[in-house]
Amino acid sequence: MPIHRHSNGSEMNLEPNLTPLLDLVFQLITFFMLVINFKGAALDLSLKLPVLGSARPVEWKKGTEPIVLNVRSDGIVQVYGEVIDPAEFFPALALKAAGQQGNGKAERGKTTVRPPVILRADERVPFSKINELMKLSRENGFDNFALSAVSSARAGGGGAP
Amino acid sequence: MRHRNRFSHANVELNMAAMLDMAFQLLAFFILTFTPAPIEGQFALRLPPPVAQTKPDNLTNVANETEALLDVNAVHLGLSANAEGRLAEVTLEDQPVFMGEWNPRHAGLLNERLKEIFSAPDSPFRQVQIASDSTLHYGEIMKVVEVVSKQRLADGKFLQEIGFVERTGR
Repeated sequence: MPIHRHSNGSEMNLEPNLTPLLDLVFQLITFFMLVINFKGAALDLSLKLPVLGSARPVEWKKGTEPIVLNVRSDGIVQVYGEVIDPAEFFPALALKAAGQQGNGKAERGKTTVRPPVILRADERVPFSKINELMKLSRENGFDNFALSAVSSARAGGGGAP
Repeated sequence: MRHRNRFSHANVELNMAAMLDMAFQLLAFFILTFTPAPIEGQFALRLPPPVAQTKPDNLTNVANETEALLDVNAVHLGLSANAEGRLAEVTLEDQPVFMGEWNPRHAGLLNERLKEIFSAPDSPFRQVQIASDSTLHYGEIMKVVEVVSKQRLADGKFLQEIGFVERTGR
């Protein structure tokens, strides 16, 4: 501990008081922990979604984590950053859901609730691609579907030119 | 056993520097990994099975009675695309609602037409079937979906059953 000794023999503590600084830093950490976005990994922020004022976040039932499909303008579909083939992805997902039911994870007498599918597509993706994904989703039992849009132009994400 | 003097004036101080170092490291991590979540919303749909439209030759025929019943309860919208993949025409039961690019006046027009159909107390309609050109862009379809999903059914609930059919023969 740095100690300054006066000429008259008294001692004075020169160490700065770090407690307020530490308080401030902890407050900042708390703020960032609260606003951290764990779901961000599922979203491809380079997509330019359509801007629609009435788009509102949907509250899904508890225990049903939605599957987010990101569709780039060139038609490539990504889930958690990985390129997927929808024709293989949906049947595999349906098998997984059925397997969970078979393993008794679902409550007795109730069918497994299939997770909703959220489609985040670039605004220039043609309808044929969207329809293909919706068809595959429906054919494999995923009837709850949601189409994404941003609610204001300011929050429109990066977007390709 | 010796008792410690409760009134001892020994100065016990914690070393805050190490704690502060750790806190700054945590803070740096959170700042660097911080990406504000986009203000995103969704239009929730329940996908009904695809059913044939009233006329088009290029769509499949109504397969069975259930589908026929669904078709009776559906309002049919047709969306045509121009060469750039933007909306060129919107039809309601094969009657044009508007032609040309989407604008607020056209949105109002479509909203009024749909409102007339769905807000009637004895309205049998429960769903909308959208038949769209394959080249129409997602952004353009969503403009129509926004208007459609604003409609309330006779029981006061918002319309959620929206089906999509692709028109290829145009």
